[in-house]
Amino acid sequence: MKRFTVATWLLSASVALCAELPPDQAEFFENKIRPVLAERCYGCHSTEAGKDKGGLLLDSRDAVLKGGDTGPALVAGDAAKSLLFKAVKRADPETAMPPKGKADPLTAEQVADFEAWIKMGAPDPRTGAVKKAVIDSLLEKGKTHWAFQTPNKENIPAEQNLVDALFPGKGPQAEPRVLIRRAAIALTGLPPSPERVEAFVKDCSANSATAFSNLLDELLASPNYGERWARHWLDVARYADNMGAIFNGDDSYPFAFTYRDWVIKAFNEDKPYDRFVMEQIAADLLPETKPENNANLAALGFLTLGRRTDRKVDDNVYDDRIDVISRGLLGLTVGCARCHDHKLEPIPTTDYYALYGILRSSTEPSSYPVLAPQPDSPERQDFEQRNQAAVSEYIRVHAFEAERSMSAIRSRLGDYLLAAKDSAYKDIYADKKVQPDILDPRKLNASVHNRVVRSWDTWIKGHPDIFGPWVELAELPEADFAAKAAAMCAAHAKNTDKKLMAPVARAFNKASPKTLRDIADVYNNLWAVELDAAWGEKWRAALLKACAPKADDLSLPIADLTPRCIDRLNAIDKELVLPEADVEALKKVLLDDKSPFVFSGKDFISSKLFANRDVAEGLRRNATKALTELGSHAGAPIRLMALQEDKPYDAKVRIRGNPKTLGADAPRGWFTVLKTESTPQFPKDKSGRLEFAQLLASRDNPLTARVIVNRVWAWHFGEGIVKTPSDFGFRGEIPENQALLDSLAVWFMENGWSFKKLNRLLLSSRLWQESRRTQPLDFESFRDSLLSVSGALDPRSGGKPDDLVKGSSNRRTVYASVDRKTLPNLFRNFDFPDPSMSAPQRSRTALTPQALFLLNSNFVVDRARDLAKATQPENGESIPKSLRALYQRIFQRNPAEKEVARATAFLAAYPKNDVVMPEVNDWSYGTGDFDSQSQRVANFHALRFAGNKVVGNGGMELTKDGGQPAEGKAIIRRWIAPKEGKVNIYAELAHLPKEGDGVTSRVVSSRGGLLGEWSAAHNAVLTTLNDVEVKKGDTLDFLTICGSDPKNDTFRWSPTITMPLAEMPGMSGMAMRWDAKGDFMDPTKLPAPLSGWEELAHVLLLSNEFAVVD
Amino acid sequence: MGALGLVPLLSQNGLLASDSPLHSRLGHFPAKAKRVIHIFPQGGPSQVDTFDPKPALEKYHNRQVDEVLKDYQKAAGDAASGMGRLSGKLQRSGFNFAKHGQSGAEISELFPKLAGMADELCIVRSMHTKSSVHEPAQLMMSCGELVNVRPSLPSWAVYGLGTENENLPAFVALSPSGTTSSGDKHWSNAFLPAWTRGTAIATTNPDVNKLIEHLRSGSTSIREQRRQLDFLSQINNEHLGERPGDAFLEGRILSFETAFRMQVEATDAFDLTREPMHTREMYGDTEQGRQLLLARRLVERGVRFVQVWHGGWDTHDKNDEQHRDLCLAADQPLAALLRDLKERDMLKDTLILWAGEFGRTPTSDNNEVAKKKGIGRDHNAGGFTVWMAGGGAKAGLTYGSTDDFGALATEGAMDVHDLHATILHLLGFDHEKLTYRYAGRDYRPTDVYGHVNHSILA
Repeated sequence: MKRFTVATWLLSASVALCAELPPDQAEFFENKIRPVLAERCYGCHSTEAGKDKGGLLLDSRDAVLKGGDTGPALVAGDAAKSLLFKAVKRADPETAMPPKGKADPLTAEQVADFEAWIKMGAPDPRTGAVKKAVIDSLLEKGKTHWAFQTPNKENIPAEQNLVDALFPGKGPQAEPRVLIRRAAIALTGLPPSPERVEAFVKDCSANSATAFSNLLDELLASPNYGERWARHWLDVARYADNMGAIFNGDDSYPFAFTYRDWVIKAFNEDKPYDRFVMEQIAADLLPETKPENNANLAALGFLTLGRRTDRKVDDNVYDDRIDVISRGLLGLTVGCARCHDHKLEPIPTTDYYALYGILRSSTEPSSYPVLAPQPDSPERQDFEQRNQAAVSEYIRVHAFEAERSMSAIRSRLGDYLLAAKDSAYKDIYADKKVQPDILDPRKLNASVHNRVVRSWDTWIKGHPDIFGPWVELAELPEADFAAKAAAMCAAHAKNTDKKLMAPVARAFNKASPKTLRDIADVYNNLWAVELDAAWGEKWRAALLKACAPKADDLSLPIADLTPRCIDRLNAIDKELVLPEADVEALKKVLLDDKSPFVFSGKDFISSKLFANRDVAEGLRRNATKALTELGSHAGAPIRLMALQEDKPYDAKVRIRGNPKTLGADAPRGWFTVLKTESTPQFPKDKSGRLEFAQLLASRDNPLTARVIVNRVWAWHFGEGIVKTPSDFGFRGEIPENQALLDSLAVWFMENGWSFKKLNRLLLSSRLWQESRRTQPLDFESFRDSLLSVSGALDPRSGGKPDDLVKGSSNRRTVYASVDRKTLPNLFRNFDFPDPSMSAPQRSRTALTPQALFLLNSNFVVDRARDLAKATQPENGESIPKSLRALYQRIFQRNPAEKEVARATAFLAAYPKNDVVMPEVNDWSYGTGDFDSQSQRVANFHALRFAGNKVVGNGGMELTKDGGQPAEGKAIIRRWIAPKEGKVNIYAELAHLPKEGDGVTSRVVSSRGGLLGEWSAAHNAVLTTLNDVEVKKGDTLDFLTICGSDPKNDTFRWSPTITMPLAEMPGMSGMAMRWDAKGDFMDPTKLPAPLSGWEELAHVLLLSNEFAVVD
Repeated sequence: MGALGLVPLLSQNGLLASDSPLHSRLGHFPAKAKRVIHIFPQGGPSQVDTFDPKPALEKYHNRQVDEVLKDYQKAAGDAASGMGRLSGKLQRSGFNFAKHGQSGAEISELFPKLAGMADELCIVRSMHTKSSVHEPAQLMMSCGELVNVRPSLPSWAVYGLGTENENLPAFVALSPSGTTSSGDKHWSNAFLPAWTRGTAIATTNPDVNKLIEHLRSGSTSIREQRRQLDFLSQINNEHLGERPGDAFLEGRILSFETAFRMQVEATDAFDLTREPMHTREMYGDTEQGRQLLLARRLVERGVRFVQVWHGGWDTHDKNDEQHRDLCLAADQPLAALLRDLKERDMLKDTLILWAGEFGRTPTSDNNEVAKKKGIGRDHNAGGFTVWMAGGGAKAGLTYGSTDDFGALATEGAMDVHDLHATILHLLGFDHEKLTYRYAGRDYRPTDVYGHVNHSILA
């Protein structure tokens, strides 16, 4: 406020100044200041440059005085307080101008000029009003931007297809076989069955229009339709099953699936889009949502299941919600306005904070509401039984432990009085040093002690009929105590003036006071004897009764159960009337609302009040664990990620997004650029979320319908009429055919915002039905198609998500768990968008990791096995017939003749003795001698595998890396050439032990004799050979012998052999390779390879034909 | 599965279509660094025990900070949010420093072998960052942003430069588990195209074929797979013939050929036993040694960016003991990497970056475990050391400084955006012009920040 006054004053002062600017001042400005401003500042802060960075213009006096986001740029006369001076002086690197690192600073002389200028009152002759801020011009421009105008529908005869009228298809109509696959994938994400295709082809020959119309009826009515279309929407809604940026502990959203299932259901029921939007923003505020029928609350997952960096709802969560609403529903990029007015779009920062205020006026309930009614199932009944037992046990344990604890505390009433006195009535939170000295040795609870201290003047002194004697005795000087206390106690015991309650007087009967400690015992007994002992049994009986859980206990979150147990105990305390009136009177005081010895449920939430903490903790942990485990029970109640109204909150603009620097008021409201005369005021007493939702879903909103019909168009045609589906602003693309887009938007609204009708309209158009370029299947359709054609699709719908990577789910991909923190490669490889942000559209790439998955993953290989099992010829069936079955399942067509021929040839060439790693069979292992005469290996004797080694006599062995020779014989790794060629050999011979006399190794060819010989002792040598010619069946032996002593002769020697294969088709630039290490495997243990038929099915699943829609 | 029937004879002859986004290309200007290896000592290494000696700590050992310098905490609070963590007493380093090489770089006894390469290092002692919490600070270092999802720096590099070997992933992240405590955003493309994303590799599994997902079939021999692919290409080419010029179909055909080559190329690249014994011994047969040797094999084959995650530097207790172990594990492999690249004449255009998310306090950490087990140090976002080598970083330079205690960056202070801007500059980019349009905005790797630090460039 103060700043505002000063600025106003300055404004008027400067106006006065300007009229009569002294010539020397005018000269100073013109010579020293204006040139610097123009040269060094106007680039970013002038109307001419069209830039007002930081909201600041410097091209007129008034603009300088008005300042930017951080306030006026000048305080005339006071350079030190002037932001402009601080900036050019570079006082703070954050605000240094011209910006650090981008431009040189002003010279020292220039800085001094500015200082002098401001000191003289910043005389400035530049008249002219403050120029319009950039955002104002943007808002002005917004008035005529196409997307903010009400859409109009072209006048098209009702019987004509709107798309045909405005975007006539020119090409010929696609074949029926193509059409049905295209329609089935588009609407259900699954290929049609071969039988349905044949029937459709037949129907088409009678009447193609009727046949197609019937087909659409059928596809739109299929429950698979919702599963397919929900997934489109879930991209926009950035659906995931966890928070994604919480780095300690569980960050899952266990009930996110309720939103996914709500979306599926909404599409299947063809919920009108305006309703669809309204419920996702404000389902809790709609009259249709009732406590006993609240399934629509799941829709609010649209807002609540975004990415979180903190479990609680913070500003980043609101930012995420603003983004998903504005880009997802309106095609506006509002997020930029969090820190400043949008630089390119008509979105002032007040719009951002207006929506922020609306969202912040709602809150997430402490526990999400339970779906009502819950679906009935055997699991649910089982859950209810177990839950009843677990809740009972929980309440029992907590109630009993709390009762024991409270009783223990109350039985030390006198000890607490004494401690309070000893700590001189100091609050231990005010003086932490009290605690260890006074409390620890006595094992007293600090918070109880504090309560006693705090109630000293009121509750304790306010009840002289109980505490009068204590107050009096406690004030006796220690020296006098023994002498005076006995008489005083005796007087209290007699209680002749009836000042004390009878039980108190009774307690003093037994007093034989030597120190104040003994009086403390009197008060301990007061509780223990008069109350606890007297009515303990009755009390426990009442407690037991209260332990039976009540109906609404069963659905409470655990956190709420503990306080509830304790509150119930307290209620029993009050209800139970003791037979003796004077004891009842005492109880009433000791347990009244102000007593420091009464504890609420909340006090017990942290376990510090529990008497025997370790035991209590153990019991409570078990009871809690049983309940927690039930949370993941299959029949556990389903909850909904809902919102509820909170106190209405009007935000202020946060300059640069910083909550500490507040700017203008930003009351809750609608986007400035979309406001019309009929835009209602937002209510003061409610969040405004409902009103906001109504505006979103209004027919008067120029964006909502346009944005969604454009998305639907893009989901069908690969790209939208507007090619930036989440950006309809100035920077977004303009529509390629606005008449079409607008007419579709109006048509959609006129037709009840019905997706099914819109889909029917688009699919019935000539444009959609003409033969056209192929479209790749997206991840979900592709995976679902693999499952579907191989007969492995698990049709179960809805419910908790499946882990596609660790688990082995064969359900539709829409039911996959989406991990926002570490999105599995499988998803990423197939262009699944990052679920941290609303995705405008998907790309579809064909990169290597996809191909690796398709070639090598068990998931795809298993589909090939399924298909082969179902189709391969048995019992003398003909190959062509089986091939037809295979092609029908995968492609829904018969193979052409040449395809049959090719497949038959492929099957025929299948190597009968194939193994997965044929290289393994090209090796054998054994012992033998090197005959120096013939330069060949003699007496080769094969050895067998024993586990993962080949073992011979005398400790001789071979491993995948090397081996261990024995005395007398060489240990040999033998390679048998499977074909003719030239090979290169690479290996390193290493002798590893620190002791021993080393080894000698040789490579011997059955054709060429000794090729090389090397020795190694405690070192490594390279043993490479190039261009060794071999014919089929030749052997290359790798022999190793020990020195004179076989001890300590472990060696490493595992050669690789490569043979270039320039001549083989598809293999140019490649070489065959044998790797002694990798190939070292017992040939009898090789994995079973795919059969020829399985390989064939596998290839067809990899084909482009299967991966795209024509 | 061990065996592979085939290997490519020549590396770096990719098969992607001519308009592949992965094709190697230049940035805005010729690059000094063609590739980067970022070693990420995760958890926050202690600068005052490694590269930033502080004699003042000796003098004020075991004294309270506020006693030594009354205004210290206050100044610290302004400079970095993490500096509230100066909870304990000033602690001298348990390690001796000495000058090394002609440059006289001061390095502690914890890195004896790396010290032998001192003249290759460009040590930056004046780093600071925005958060003293691990995960956001790690994301800051990898992606230039604490909280929001942004593309990682390597993804930006791949986006700008493509790759030099399309048979291997362009960007590889090596970490023992294949992920990090802060998730996979460190190699995330976020809103950049999917082909810029890093491939994460869990390096604890020594089986070559398990390093990359689905690298080998367990049910088809490579020769049969070749036969399958020949059959597939016939079918696909016939299909393409009826739909000529379809880029997706063409790309998909090529992807299978590339995958087939990657099966062998990657197997070869990841097989450390292909290295001579003396090289393996030079790096050492430890996790870090294997990681760095692997990193060298990858960049040698044209991989653009390798992240190497080395965990465990969060020494809240037993700081000295733990640093001794950690440096012992890192010293030899780091020195070997520099020497090896230099011998191969690759250091000149390979940028090595050793940079964690932040440093550690010059004070002891007042936590309960440390009281029992031994003195530790807390997180320090206000000042820490990183070093670079090769790739156009100025060799033999020790740049910038922290205050007398090693708590706050003072002279030549550089934040993470500055570091990123500088790395991008070495890769040939003006970091302000490397942009990508998303959600109505042109995003850049350094947001609206960052200045190239020309003082640390060769």
